[in-house]
Amino acid sequence: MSKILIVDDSATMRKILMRVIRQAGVETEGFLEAGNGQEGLERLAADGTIDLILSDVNMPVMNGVDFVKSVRALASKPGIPIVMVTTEGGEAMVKTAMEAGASGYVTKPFTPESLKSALVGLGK
Amino acid sequence: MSADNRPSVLQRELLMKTLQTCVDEVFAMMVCSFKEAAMKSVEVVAPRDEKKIRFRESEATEAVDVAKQVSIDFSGDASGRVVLRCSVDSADSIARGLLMMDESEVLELAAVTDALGECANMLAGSLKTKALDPVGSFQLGLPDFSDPAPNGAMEGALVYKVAQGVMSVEVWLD
Repeated sequence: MSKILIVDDSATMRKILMRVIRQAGVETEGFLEAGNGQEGLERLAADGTIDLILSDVNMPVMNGVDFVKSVRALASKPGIPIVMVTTEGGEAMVKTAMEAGASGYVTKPFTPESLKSALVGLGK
Repeated sequence: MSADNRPSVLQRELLMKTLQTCVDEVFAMMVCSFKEAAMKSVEVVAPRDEKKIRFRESEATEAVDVAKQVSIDFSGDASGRVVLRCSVDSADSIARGLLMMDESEVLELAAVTDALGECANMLAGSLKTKALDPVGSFQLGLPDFSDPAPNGAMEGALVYKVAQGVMSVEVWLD
């Protein structure tokens, strides 16, 4: 088993995501949290067992799109799934995130079913 | 209100109707403890009071102190902000609802603040997706808890009784 990294500047949203993922029965050894993309990169560098990332888009310091681009540029994490979980539901932002390398996209507010569906689609 | 600033298709009635849909969705999907009976739309009473949320219920006009305010700016083809104002009780209820905490659990002030920021973020994001993105190009800002008086002019407000408290969701245009 491995870990899930949740990148969101809201501690509330990080807690909600952890709760929903547990309730969905996704197998994980645990969670790591980061408050922005830069912290996310640091967590990723420090823990080699992360095999799934959920990331917000609008964050201070480093936003979610730049974070995805940075992760995709890492040789150490080829193909790691990154699901964007964000209030930004417009087509343009979805396209931007997917072109940057996101693997999936969930718009807030979400139901537990919609999040679970996105994770199941990634084989989780 | 700035007529020059507003995209021609961004009409007040549609904007406020869409905002109501956004509030319904965010609370139904994310603020788990809210049943239909615990959240009720009430009539807004003008003029807006900076320190209080004024509303009318059962012929009586009431005013409740604002304890927390958070705003999310939007900018682009028009600029403004979505503002969430809450009484003490509604702020606590919304935070507990989002975090699925019951009354017996200790809820830190910082957690309430963060939860309201996320609630406002979801409201603004939903409004952007449903009402702004279809008519122009817009960007959202981060939650701002600092400004007691939003800039611009209020386009409209929705007021709700939430559990034992009151909240106001407002749209402002520069």
